[in-house]
Amino acid sequence: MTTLIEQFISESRELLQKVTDALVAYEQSPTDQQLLNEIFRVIHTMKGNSGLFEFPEMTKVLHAGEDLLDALRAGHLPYSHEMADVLLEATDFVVLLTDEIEQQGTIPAHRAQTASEITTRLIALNTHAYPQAAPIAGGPANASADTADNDSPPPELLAQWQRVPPAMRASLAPALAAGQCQWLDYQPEAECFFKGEDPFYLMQQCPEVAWFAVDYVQPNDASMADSVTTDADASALTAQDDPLWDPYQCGLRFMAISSAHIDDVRAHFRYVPEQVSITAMPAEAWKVAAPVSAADVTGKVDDSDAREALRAVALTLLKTQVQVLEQPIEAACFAGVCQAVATTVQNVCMAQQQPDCIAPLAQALASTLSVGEPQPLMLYVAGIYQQWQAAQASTDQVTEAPMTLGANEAEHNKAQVRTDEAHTAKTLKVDQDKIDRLMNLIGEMVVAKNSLPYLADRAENQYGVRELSREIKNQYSVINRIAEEMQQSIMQIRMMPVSFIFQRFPRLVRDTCRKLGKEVNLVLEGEFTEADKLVIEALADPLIHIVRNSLDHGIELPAVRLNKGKPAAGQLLIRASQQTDSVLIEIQDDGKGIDPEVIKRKALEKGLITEAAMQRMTDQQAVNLVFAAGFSTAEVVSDLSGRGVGMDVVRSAIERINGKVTLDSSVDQGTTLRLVLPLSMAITNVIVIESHQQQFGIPMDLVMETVRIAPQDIRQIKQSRAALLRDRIVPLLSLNQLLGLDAPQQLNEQGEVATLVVKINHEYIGLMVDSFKATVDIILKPLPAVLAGMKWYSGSALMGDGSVLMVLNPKELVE
Amino acid sequence: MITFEAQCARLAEVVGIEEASTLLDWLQAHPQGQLDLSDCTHIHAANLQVLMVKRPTIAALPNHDGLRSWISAALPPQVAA
Repeated sequence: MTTLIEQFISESRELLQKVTDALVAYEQSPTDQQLLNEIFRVIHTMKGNSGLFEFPEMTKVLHAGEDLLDALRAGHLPYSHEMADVLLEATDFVVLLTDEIEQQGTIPAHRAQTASEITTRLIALNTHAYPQAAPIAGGPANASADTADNDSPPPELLAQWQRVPPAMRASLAPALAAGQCQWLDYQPEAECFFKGEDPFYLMQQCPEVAWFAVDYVQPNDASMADSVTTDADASALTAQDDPLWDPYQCGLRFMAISSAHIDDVRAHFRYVPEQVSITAMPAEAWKVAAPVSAADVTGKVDDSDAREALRAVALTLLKTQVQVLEQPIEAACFAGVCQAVATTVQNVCMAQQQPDCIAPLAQALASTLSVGEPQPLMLYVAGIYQQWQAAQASTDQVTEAPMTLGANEAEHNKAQVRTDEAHTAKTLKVDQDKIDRLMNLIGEMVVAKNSLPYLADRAENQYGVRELSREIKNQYSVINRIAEEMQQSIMQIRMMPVSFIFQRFPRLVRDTCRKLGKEVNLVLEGEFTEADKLVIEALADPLIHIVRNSLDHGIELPAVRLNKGKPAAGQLLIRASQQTDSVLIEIQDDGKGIDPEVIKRKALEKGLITEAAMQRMTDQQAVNLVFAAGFSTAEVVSDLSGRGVGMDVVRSAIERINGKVTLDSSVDQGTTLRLVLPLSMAITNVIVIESHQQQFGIPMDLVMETVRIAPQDIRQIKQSRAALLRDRIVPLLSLNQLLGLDAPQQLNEQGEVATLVVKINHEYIGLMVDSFKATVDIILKPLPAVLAGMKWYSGSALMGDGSVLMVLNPKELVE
Repeated sequence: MITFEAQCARLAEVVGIEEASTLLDWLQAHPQGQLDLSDCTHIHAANLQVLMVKRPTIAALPNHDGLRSWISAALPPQVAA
């Protein structure tokens, strides 16, 4: 893929996103002329860009879109939801094409059909520029149907078929029987000359044309097409006497039979698919022809075209013969080979109707055989080859002239793009892999740097060099500072604004509301809040799910809302904000809210909770039941939500990136979901603890405090132990017990037990360990393969001294 | 390129779209005018439809094989009025 195309693709993506956003925004405020201008400008740019490449499908759709927008811009047409639908669909189609260009480097042939459908719809809406658009849309020139499977040939085709001379019909019979013939009916639009088109040239260049005809119909009159045989002359006659007849209104109609593959023919006409109808000719068509006499076949056939087509084959054959003679030939086979070559050349000459060549050929063969050297024959065959080739070249040269002109123009456009590039290349686009590699390297650097304190300790304790130890520590603090700064800058590179996800919402909300018949005002806030790329990417799906849920279950239908005394249009607020080391995302709707009683009843029905648990449950706890697996309150399963893969998926997705979800809801007031996400997932801060002579890490974000509890403060309640800490009863659990280690926790000199107070699901739990070590920044690596199933570990990390630290997942451990 | 003589217009090489109106004007001014296409290799579709509508007498068909066959198909010989 060339750099230019890559540039085109990346630029198109940006522009397309801009268009989608702007289209949705414009639907909200149809008076915003500036917004409309912006959309028009972007579409116009894209159309221009796409024109640099061979992507006519894209250019056509964009062109029709541009026309429609232009009419809107000039105030000729009012904006409607239907227009928005078609324009958005067209945008989606262009996105699809962009994807395909990126993946395959080209647009598949069948897209031309969709492209012309969308174009037709865009044109149909543009009643200002194309007042007669609607009838044309249904006209015969547009029905580019592939009737290969159709048994009976269309009557129109049969009528035209009668114009094909009987001799031609007979010669086409074999190709027809094999189903290789395409019937072409090309009726250029009246204004085509003003678009720089030359339909005559296009038609002449059509591959493998066996028969053709040209008629003068009448410009812009598609209805005439049906009865063209009778009316063609009449039209020409009317025009002949009309002193005001305009030669620049195209009224031509071309018909042809091509034996090229239907896809090749389509590809040839791909700039004008809606003006040409390509029909695979049914094998039956030739049977309709009158019986042909032998005299017809031999008598009147003008086979100069066929001869033309065969010229290339003839040249190849001659070249091969020369090559045969150039090879060393065994004496025994010499006469036979020369004879065979001469026969082939003779047949070629006959086929090309060059009987003059035959006599000299025989002479050359005779002298070759008499001298026993292939030269005379070879020289003669090579002579014919060169002669014919020169003749071929001179005809080709002429037809190439207009092509060169086009190439110059393209070159000019390219040059223009190059100058544009110079203006835009301010930001550096870097491959994500490179950033990831940098991230990994800085991770290793952090780990390596952490080994210096160990070294300092060893210098002091093992070798007794205090001075050196202090110097190492000094150096360490310098390296530490640089490493931390570096880490932060690299993390900055990976930071992305949440607008990356937010920008999809206007479209999502619009489409969903159109589908559900609801009215919603979407408010986005804090779009420029940044978080790590991985966090942002992982957030996309859950967030979309939440928004859909709000629209589907939360916000009521306009009538229901009015009954409740709320405005008909609901409000959906999505707000992002940055907190110290996390990002808070709130999704708030003013819909019907979640009724805790309904949730409780549902949960009981589904056996998620017991009757007793239901009685004890607070409203807040009940509302949070929506996060339980297999919970869905939707009465009807729609295609939007309510399939039971609900909020539990959202919660686990958010927790996977170390985020938290909370939900507040009150009946008829609305629902607020809060997502708290880490800024970055790369570096984790853990506290290292020791239990049964093993070290473990525990994520710091769960740890509330570390305390040492005296034995007398521990209360035994049946099998469990608890302690009163800060006026709160905290259940105590032994880490050894949880890990299945058969040893009691060790106490310190004062007989106190080291306890880590962690907060899990809004509850405080005391984890008793042997001793606390230090807190460290680590790069948490998930456990590989089978080990990944051990949920009570979050992963492992490499420590500065080279040891491996297992990081516990207290949530799983406690449950 | 078109060269106009007293009663004959010679079309040579590629005849572009701009020349269609000139050709039309000439044919309207010279209803009996003849056309010599022998050195012509391509005519723009606009010229083609001028010829199809005005039906001038073709004195010489193009030597160019491809164009000759198309012109013969578009302008079947007529009995001169």
